[in-house]
Amino acid sequence: MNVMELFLGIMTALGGFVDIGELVFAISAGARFGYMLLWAVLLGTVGIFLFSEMSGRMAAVLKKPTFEIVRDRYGYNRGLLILVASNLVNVLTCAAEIGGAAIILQILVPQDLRVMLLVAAGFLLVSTYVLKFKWIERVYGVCGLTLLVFAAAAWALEPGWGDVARGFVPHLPEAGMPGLPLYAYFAVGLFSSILMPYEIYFYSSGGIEDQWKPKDLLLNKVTAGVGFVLGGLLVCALIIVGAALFMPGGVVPQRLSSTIFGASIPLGAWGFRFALAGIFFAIAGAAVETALAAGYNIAQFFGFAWGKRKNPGEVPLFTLCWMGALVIGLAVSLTGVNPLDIVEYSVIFAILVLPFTYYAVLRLADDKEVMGKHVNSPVARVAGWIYLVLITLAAIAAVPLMIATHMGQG
Amino acid sequence: MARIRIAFALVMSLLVGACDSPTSFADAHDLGIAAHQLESLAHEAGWLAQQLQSRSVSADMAWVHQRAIAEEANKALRALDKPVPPELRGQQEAVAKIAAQLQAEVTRIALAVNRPGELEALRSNFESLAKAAHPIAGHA
Repeated sequence: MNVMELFLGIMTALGGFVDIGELVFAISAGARFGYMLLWAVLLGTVGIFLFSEMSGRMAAVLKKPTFEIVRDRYGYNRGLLILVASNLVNVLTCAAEIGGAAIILQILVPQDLRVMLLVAAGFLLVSTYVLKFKWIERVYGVCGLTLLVFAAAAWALEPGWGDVARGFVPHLPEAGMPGLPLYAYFAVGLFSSILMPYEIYFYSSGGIEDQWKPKDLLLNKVTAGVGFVLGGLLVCALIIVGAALFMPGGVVPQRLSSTIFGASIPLGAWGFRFALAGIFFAIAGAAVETALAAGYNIAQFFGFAWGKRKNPGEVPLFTLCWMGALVIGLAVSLTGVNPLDIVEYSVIFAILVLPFTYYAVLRLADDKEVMGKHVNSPVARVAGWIYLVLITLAAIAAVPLMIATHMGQG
Repeated sequence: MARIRIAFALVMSLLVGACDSPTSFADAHDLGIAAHQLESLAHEAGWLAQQLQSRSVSADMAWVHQRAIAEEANKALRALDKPVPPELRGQQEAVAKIAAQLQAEVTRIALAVNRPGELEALRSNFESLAKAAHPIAGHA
């Protein structure tokens, strides 16, 4: 295993872990419930590691990406329904990320928001078109590491580490905090934002783009394990910032620009600059991932050629699909809707799609006849089924909670 | 297949229903939510003034964020643009006044970039607005 490749893999997994959904839900969760929802991050991080590792293993062993597995499991008609729902979530998420990137650009270069939306979308379109897969991963993932400024901010805020540790054990909201429905809404939102389905689509397609073979299974395991665990720690840092800064300050962030205070107040002007860079690259990277995931899904489902390591001329339909996802995302953001409103819908809607995708992945990873010696271990099998039950429960609860809490308002 | 279609239609109708529940009256809970949002926005406006004063954030950040705060205050106000029971009219007026004041004052932050005294005064005004919203907000 190449150590440099492993290091870059871990860094890109970490840098690409946080997107606008985690930023919003994590800081808001901390601002409303202190450290009490840290357990949801732990739960989500173990889940994303588990299913990413499985989908990466299938990519390495069977050369099968996720949406081919979905089509094989459910057949054409049901699979098509899952494809439409998944890509609806992808495009909504992409729209939120483009909107967020434009807001950060507007802080750097004061211009009309619509102009900045066009600039952001143009930048994403050109960089995705020009860069090969490996470089897309590395540029956005490694530059997204500047988001670690929020880990530094969490440290600088000197939280009560005993309270932080208690947050990893689930317990009900304390007196004076918002009620149980809002607590459950944020728990589901955090869980879902970490397990967003596009991460699995992108990860497994990435394994095939990187031409993983069975000898790369350790690389898959370590990248998913270390990279996503470090990413989970970054989300915990966001909750700590929410709990130690926003909660005592009486602020519940309602706009993307609000989250910048999480770094600028504890760390000053440098915190501000790093937060701008980190948020931009994290959400721009997620916009590219969601657009590519939409293209991957369609290409894999209908069986036409795909791949970012190939020239666009060799994979014209795939290229058209990911470009189309970016353009539709841009059109949605041009309506002027707040990206945070879009992201709440996409995160809650994503959890409805999750059980279908993860069930297909789990069933195939459990199939000894197909996977041979690379079949799920007993631990992975049991953990996978427990997670599938949890994801299904979260999916059942998501929409009623969204209605009961007026989309997280209370 | 039919069951999946029905389930999908049900989910979509629930989602559409959640977008904007057509409630004809605003109640104490709605007032509480709006007041809580305004309290949070007023605190945030205070942060913005303080951060600009200490040069931790740029003036361009102030322009972008003050507009965002004003838009959110307007959104909170629009959510209350409904009749309320007579006993809540006083609170509704108070919330509307806080929102209007916040919208007017927050747009002065970026202009005061080179006037620390004015930024300090604005910060103090925002704290007063947050204090005024707090009792109506309750635990919303």
